[in-house]
Formats: sequence, structure tokens, C-alpha cells
Amino acid sequence: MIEIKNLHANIEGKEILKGLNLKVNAGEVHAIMGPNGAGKSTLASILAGREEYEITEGEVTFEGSDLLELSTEERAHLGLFLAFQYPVEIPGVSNVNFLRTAINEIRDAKGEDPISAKDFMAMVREKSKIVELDSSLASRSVNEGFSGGEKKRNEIFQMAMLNPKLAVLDETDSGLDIDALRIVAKGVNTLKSADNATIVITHYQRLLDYIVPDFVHVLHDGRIVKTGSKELALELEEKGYDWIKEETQVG
Amino acid sequence: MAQYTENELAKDLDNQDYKFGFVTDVETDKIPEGLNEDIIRIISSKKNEPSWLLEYRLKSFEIWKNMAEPNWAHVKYNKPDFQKITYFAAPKQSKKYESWDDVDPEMKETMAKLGISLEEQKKLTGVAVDFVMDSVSVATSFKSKLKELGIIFCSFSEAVQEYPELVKEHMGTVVPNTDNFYAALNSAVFTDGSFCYIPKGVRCPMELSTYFRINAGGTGQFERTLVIADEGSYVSYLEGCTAPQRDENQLHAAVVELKAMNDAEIKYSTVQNWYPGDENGIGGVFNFVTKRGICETNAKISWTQVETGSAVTWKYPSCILKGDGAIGEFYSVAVTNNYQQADTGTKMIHLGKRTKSTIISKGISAGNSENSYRGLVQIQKNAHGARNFSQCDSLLMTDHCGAHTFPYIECKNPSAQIEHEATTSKIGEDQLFYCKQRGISEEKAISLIVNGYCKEVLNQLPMEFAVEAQKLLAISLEGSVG
Amino acid sequence: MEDVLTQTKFDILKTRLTQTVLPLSEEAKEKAQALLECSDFPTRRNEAWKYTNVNGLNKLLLDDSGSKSTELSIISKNAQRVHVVNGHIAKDQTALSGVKTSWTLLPELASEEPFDALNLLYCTAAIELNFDDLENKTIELVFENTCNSVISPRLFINCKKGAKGTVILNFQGTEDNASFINVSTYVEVEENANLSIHKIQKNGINAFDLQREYVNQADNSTFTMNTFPLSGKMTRNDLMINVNGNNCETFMNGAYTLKGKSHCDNHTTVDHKVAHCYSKELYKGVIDDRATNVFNGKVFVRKDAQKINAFQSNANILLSDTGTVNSKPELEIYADDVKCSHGSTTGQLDEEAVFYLRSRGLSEKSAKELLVKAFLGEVLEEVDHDDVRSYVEEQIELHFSA
Ligand SMILES: Nc1ncnc2c1ncn2[C@@H]1O[C@H](COP(=O)(O)OP(=O)(O)O)[C@@H](O)[C@H]1O
Ligand SMILES: [Mg+2]
Repeated sequence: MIEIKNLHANIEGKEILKGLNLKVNAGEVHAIMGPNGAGKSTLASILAGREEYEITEGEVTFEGSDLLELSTEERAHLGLFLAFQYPVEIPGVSNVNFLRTAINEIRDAKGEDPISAKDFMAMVREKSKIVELDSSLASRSVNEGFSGGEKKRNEIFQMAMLNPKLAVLDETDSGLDIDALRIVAKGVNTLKSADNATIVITHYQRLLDYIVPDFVHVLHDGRIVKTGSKELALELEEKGYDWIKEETQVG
Repeated sequence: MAQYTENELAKDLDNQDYKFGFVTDVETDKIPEGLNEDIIRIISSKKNEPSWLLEYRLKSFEIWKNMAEPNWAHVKYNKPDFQKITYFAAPKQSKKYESWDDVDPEMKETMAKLGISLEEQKKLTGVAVDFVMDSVSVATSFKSKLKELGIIFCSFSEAVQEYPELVKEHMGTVVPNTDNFYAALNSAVFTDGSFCYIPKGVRCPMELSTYFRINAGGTGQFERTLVIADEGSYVSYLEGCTAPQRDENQLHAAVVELKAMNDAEIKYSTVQNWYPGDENGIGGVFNFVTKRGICETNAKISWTQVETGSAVTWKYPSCILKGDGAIGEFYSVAVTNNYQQADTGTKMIHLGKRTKSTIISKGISAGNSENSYRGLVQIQKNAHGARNFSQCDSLLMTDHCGAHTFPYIECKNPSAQIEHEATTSKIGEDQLFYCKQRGISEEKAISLIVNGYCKEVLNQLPMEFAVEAQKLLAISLEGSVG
Repeated sequence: MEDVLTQTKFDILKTRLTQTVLPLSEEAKEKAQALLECSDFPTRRNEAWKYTNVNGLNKLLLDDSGSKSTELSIISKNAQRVHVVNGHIAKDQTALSGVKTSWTLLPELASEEPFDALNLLYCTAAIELNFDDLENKTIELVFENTCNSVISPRLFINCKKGAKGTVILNFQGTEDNASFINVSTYVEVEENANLSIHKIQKNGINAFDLQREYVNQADNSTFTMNTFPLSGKMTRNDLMINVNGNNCETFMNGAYTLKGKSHCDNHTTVDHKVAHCYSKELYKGVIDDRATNVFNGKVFVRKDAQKINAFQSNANILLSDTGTVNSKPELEIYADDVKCSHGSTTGQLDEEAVFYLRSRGLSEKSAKELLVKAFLGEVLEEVDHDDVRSYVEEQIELHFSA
């Protein structure tokens, strides 16, 4: 699905990613954990094509294409989805209007006809149930006046609507209470299939109780320094990140 | 969802050139260019006007000659040569049409290109169209239906012939010929326009609408609109403008007067799309308009405008809140791109007690354009309990455009409450990125964000207009992010 | 008769002024004279003077009548002080470091403003203040106006690289003083410097006070101007700040209390010429009786001055039926990556709040006073000089008890 090789990236002259490698296959769930400032959001932003970052080395292949050559929207057309750590508000633009535009643009890129209003509304009703999103939120402006939890659920709702190949969830769990966490996780699990894959970025283990990962990676100082199974997350929870830091320094 | 228009939008995006840039080949009856008393006499006699109107025109001309063109607005342009303008052009066949079948086919085609196919609109309920082409009204529909209710909706010239007392009584009482340079000029040379009278207690059952366009080359446009809503009546009036492509600058100096008697309400909406000039700032219409309304006791006037056109715009639809409890509203979106310049806003003059005004202005500047909000809120001594709220936001799309806010707030009454807020900011990079991540192209993302930003104003427009306005916003801002 | 017709109001005013004895270069003199020659008093047609009429200047007697001995307030006991009595530097003062009062030639700084030219040609005192260390010393200039005179000081304030300084401009007039105060202040805030100016205008009720400050800010500097027009018949302040350097901070605060027939006009301009700067402006005031307040705040953001954050706010409380408030906050913006906002409110005291306080036992008068003080308190909170803040608080107190 996606393969990242030796990725190096800078922002404002400071090197954040320092040779990152990661391979994700269809049907897999990967968790990326790491302390604050490790570069997790940076990785997510680079995959989505944010322009502030300068890529100095490395390559990323996504579904057979050179991802780094594509514009942000072309990546989205290929099925890359990022659930933002901080979803932005777009005043005056209703969620449904926004999503319908997005769906039709993606369809258009694939040479498909636009979705009919009827099918679209049916889909809105169906998918909003998955994340237990009040249907009134669908007609409100994108993220405007949403609570933290609503914003995160809205991200998963959008994910459900756009049905991506690869979803990258950046700290979708942070700031959620236990009910919201369960809802978000349920959404992600419902959408999981053999054809798609998920990268879950978090720095708490608790989300992984609900979304069970096939692999857990530790991102530290711009590199994946350790990869393991679900148990690695528990170990991190217990011991913190310091032992990883020490270990890598020794190594 | 019903008013969602992405597909139509996509179609329009294919055609970036000014879409109404064509010239209809109708024989026009022109008089020589230039301005003097004789020309005014010719206009007046061609229109078969009563002598009081000719006198009014001549008086206005005297006043105009002694006035200087205003220069306080934040706009720069080459002053028009008033002797190089033709002040009268009427389509040759000046007889009235009995039915739509009689209308010149070429003219019908023009209307179709303008997207206002009357044949269709006749079937659709709701819109009666008074079509002004080169100053003379050539078609009016729904007249009979309106007539039943006692509503008068006709061309200004027709009103002068048929209802001279009404015209004489009200014309120039809201915008006197001494008001300003362009109003004086208009009062001297106006050729035609619309007239509307709603009798006491009548709610006009449909949106009244007028489309203007400039046609014959070098023809000035001097429309005059007078809307009178008698006590307790209601009317919603739409005005839309499109103009064909021209290289030389064309002057448009209209006067619009609204009178809302006690308890009456007038809603006046404009989508303005005069030719803005090309990407290099060549050509385009000068739009110097005086629009004003008077509200008597508990009356309400609401101006809504979406301005995307004109090379230079100078326009301040205003309300004189004369009666107690009167309400004035101004909702505006002004978009400028390339080398367009707009200096627009409103004046809310509070005279009566408990008068209220609301101003919502959204400016969007792109390219090398200049976009200014200029507004006056004046609370006079006796306006006890007056309220005003103003929100003026500016959105900047590039780093070579300008966005300016010049509010004037004058208060002479302690019980008045005035609130003014303004913000200026760049179109949100984060918002654009978010849209793009969801697969939406930059152009479309801009159009989405801008339409969202203007929502409060667009919501004030009647449905058909809102759709058209959204399209216009998208077209005007193409390729504008720098 | 011809002459009379072409005589300007400046010509009339000039006949009643005494030319300066301070050393001016011929060139500066000629330039100022030429500017005055082709100027007249501003009229309504002049946008910057739309609401303010200074014709009354020519009705002032300016005959030096009045007592010379009255004691007037000083603001900061700990400050180094220079006394200027009826426009002239008091003779028997000890020399202070960083203060220059004697000249071989006045600096040739000049603006295009006729009243600045007038200040130069009829200058009564020229003072230069220099701050060159981190000590943050306070220098207070006390202007004691007890006679009906022409007070025309020209001030030069320099805060050198990396230095910190505080200036108090304390204008004090006897109660019924009818002077013509005309001040030009030139300020340079150099790189990394931090300068605060506190200006108190406690003028006599018949005095005309026209002041201009021309400020230049260099990279990484901070400048604060706090203005307190407390009394006077006519007060006009023009504060013009050029932010020429990157990464600067600029603060402008004002609080005014107007009553009687006084007229107060604060014009401020902050001109952001380069990137990454922050400016914040807060002017608040209370208008009573037949008084008029004018506020005009301009924020310019020039092309290429990206990443500017500029905020501007003006709030007024109108207490009487006969007072007038004119507020014109302006934004003129030519760069795109900016965040600017302004707000203006005008109204009366919140009746609900008055009622609430009365229901708790306060008299109507003291309820109103309390609310007004709270309203102005927001500005005072911005004042980081204790002596200045407590003086202004005291004056506000007095204003309402009188
Ligand atoms: N726009 C930026 N400018 C400068 N530094 C940045 C920017 N964004 C992120 N960084 C820096 O990059 C590092 C990684 O940040 P981030 O990817 O957000 O970490 P994480 O998501 O793992 O907490 C941090 O040191 C952060 O300060
Ligand atoms: Mg992060």
C-alpha cells in the first residue's frame, strides 16, 4: 500500500525526520507512538502534502505512484486520508456541501459521474450513524462551534464518507472522553477491510485497547527506533519513553 | 442542498472570459455625442416629456455644471470626458410589444445569453422582468397580474406618461439633484429606468426584477429607479447588471430612490456584474451610483448587494431612518480582482427614535485590486434608543491587493448603542490545505471558502439570485490566490 | 483691502506671537515660513480635521495675564524633573544627565504640518532627552501653565540602542488658564530599545492644546504611548508612528474624561512598513455635558509588511444628551498575510448594571461612578508606571466628585 524509505525532512532549516522507514500493507493497522515533538504530525503532514516541509532525501510510494510528486488533492484522489490533529473551522460552509464537493471531485478524478443528491443524502444518513454523529451536525458549518470530541468524530465521519485506501489518524484520541473514544474506535473498526489500511498516531496506549494494531512503531528523534506487536504499546505505557531514548542512544 | 450548484459552477469555470461579452446588433437610434442644453431638450422631446420634467432636467444641468467631480473615494481613474458620451440611445423600434411573440428575435437571443430566458421565466412563477436594454425598456411581463393588485411596475418613461403626478411628487425627494455630481448629471440626462408603486397594505406576491446592460458602443447609462412602497406594503426588488466587453471605459451613473412609508418594507437586492476590464486593467465600466431610501415610521429598507463587476465602483446604498422605529439594513459582498477598484459601503442616518441599523460587509480583494469599505453611521440628537451594529470583514487573496476600512461613526445621543467591528485577514492556508486533503482542488476550495465567508450576505438574497451570485463569486476569483 | 482678503488665519495668529530666540538654520526657517505662507487653518473639508475646528485660537488673548506662582502637581516624586514655566525652561534648575536644553543649532527635523512649522518659528523651549542605558530612568517634563501665554516646546526624545527609558510629559494648567499650547515631539526608538511616554494633559478649561508626536521605531524595539487628555477647551493629539523595523511592538493607550464644552480629538497613525510586528491600541473615554470627542485611528500595513498583527479599539460612553462622539477607526492594508482588526463602540452605561448596583444599596451616582471607573480601568491596567496610574486614577475620581 505505502512504502516510506529513508525519509528526511526539514522545516525552517531544522531537520525533523532523519531517515524514516515504514511499510504498510493492505488490511493492516499500524500504530505510531512517540513522545511529544518526535515528528509524528510532521510525518502525517508530509504524507498529506503540506508544503512547508522540505524533503531532503528519501522516497514514498503509495499504490504504485511516487507520492511526493503528487499534489495534496491528487493524493486524496488516490485514497489517502488524514484525520487532522487540529481540524480547522470553515465558517459558512456546511459539512454536507463540503463533503459533496469532495466526493464529486474525487469521482471526477476517477472519471466517474457525480453522485446524485438522493444517494448522497442516503450515504450521509448511513455513515453518520457509525460515529453516532447527530445529523444536525452534518448541516452545520465545517467544524465551526464543534466541541473537541465532535470535531474528532466529524473527522471519522468524513473518513467514512470518502472511504479511503489509507487513513492516517493523527492523535484522533487526544482530548476524548472514554465514550467518545469508544465511538471513534468503533468507527475505525467498522471501516476496516482487507483492501484498506490505517496508521494510528497516538501517544497513549488506551486507544489501542479499542483499535487493535498489527504493528506498533516507536518514533523518536525523526526515526522509527523500535517495532513490535501490541505488547510494545503496553510496555511503553508502563515504562514511558525514556528507556527507548536510552536504548537508542546506546545503539 | 437544492441550491447547490457545483456542476453549473464547473461549466462556468470552463469559460473564463467574460461570459456576457457580446454585442447585440440592433439598430440604435442615437443622438450626437456631447452634453449641452440642446441635447437635454432632444432627450426630453424624444421621450415626449411634460415641461416640468424638461425644466427639472435643465435645472439639474445648471447645478451639475457648477459641481466638481468628487475625489475623496479611494479610487484612481481617468476622469470621463463628459462631452465624449452619447446621452441617448434607444433601440429603433420604439413601439411597445403586445406579447412576447412580437419581441425582436435577436433581442430574445440576447436575453437567453444573459441567462434570463423570459419565456421560461414567464412559466416559472415569481419573477416579473422589466428588461432594460440601452436605456429603454422593451419588455415587461406579469403586468396584468400586478395590475389586479394595483401595483404599478413599468419603465420610468412609461410612468412619466401614465402616472405623472406620482413621479412628480416623489422624484428627487430622496436623492435631490443637488446631492452630488453624478446624481446631478443623472437628473439632467437620465434616459430610462424602472418605476414601481405598491399601494397601501399590498404585499407584492413576486420578486420584481430588472436587468440592465450596456450595449451600443460609447453609450452612457443613466438609469433612474423609483420604488414607492405605500403604508403597510411590502416589495422585494431585484436588480441585476451585465455588460458586454468594451475597450473604452463606460460610465454608469444611476440614481435609485426608495420610499418606504409607515410600516412598509422594501427589500432591494443587486447582483452587479458590469464589465470589470481585462487582466491588465484595460476597459471596464465606471459605476458611480447614488442609491438611497427613506424609511418612515416602523418602515424597513434592506439593501443587499453582490458586487463583482466594474473597473471602478463608487456606491453607497443608504437609509435615512426618519420615522420612529425604522430599520435599515445593508448586506454587501464586494469582490475585486485584477485592477478593479471599489469604494463602497453605506450610510445609516438615524433620525427617529428606536431606529435600528445593521451593516454586514464582506470585502474580498485579489490580484492588484483595491477594495474599500466606507460607511457612515450617524445618530442624530433625537434618535433616542437608536442601535447600530456593523461588521466589516476583508479577505485578502494576494500580496499586491489592498483592503481598507473607513467607518465614520457620529453620535449625538447618549442612549444610542453603536458597535462596529472589522477584521482583515488572509484566506486561511490551513483551510485550503484541509479542503485539498479531502480531494478538493484549489480553485474549488477557494470558491467554497469564499462562499462560506459571504454566507450571511448571500442568505439575504432571493434564491435565484443567490445561486447566480455564488457563480459570479467563483468566476471573479479564478486563479486569484497568490 | 486686498491684503485683508488674502490674509490667512495663520497670518492673524502670527501677528500675536513672538519669534523664537532659539538658533534655527536659515534653511529650516525658510522652509517653515514657506509652509505657513501657503497654509490656512484647516476646515471641515480637510479630512483629518473634519470634526475639529481651531478658529477659536484667534480669539485667545495670549496677553501673559495670570499669576506666575501657583503650585501645580508633579506626578513622579522619584523622577528627574525639568520644569517649563509658561513655555520657558525654568532658570534655576540643576543640570541632568541625558537632558539637553541649550543649543548652538536646533535639529532640522520638520513635518509638513503647518502647526509644526508654527511651533518651530515661535519655539519657546527646546529639550532633548537621551536614554542610553538599561536603567529605565524616568524623566518628567513639567509644563506649568499659569499665564495665558503661548507655550511652544519642541522636544526630541532618543532611546538609544538597547536602552530603556520612561518619559512623563506633564501638562498642568491653572483652572481657568487660556494658553495656546503647541507641542512638537520627535521620537527615535533605536534597535532593541524600549521607550514609554506618558502624557498628561490637565489644561485650564480655556486652553487650546495642539500636539504632534513623530515616532520612528527601529528593529526589535518597543514603544508605548499613553495619552490622558483630562481637561482643556480644545485638545488635539496627532500621534504618528512609523514602524520601520522588523519585530517591533507598539502600544497606544488613551483615556479621556470630557465635560463642559471641551473638545478632544485624538488622531493616531501606526504605519507598519516591514514585517513581523505587533501593534495594539486602546482608547476609551467618557463624554458628558456639551463635550465632543473625536477619535481617528489609522493602521497602515504596507506592501510586503507580512505577518503583522494589529488591533485597534475605541470605546465611548456618552453621559449627556448634548455630547457628541465621532469615531473613525481605519484600516488600510496592502499586504496579505496579516491579522488586523478594529472595533468601536459608543453607548451609555449599562442600565442593567446600574440597577444591579443600586439594588445592592449604592446610590445612582456612585453606581455610575463605579461603572465608569471600571470602564476606564481597562486602559489604566495597561499603564505600567505606578505614579502615572495613581495620578490618573485620582484625577478621574476628582472629575466625578466635582
Ligand atoms: N511549523 C513549524 N515550524 C518549526 N518547527 C516545527 C513546525 N512544526 C513542527 N515543528 C517542530 O518539529 C518537531 C516535531 O513536531 P511534531 O511533528 O508536531 O511532533 P509530534 O506530533 O510528534 O508531537 C517539534 O520539535 C516541533 O517543534
Ligand atoms: Mg502531533
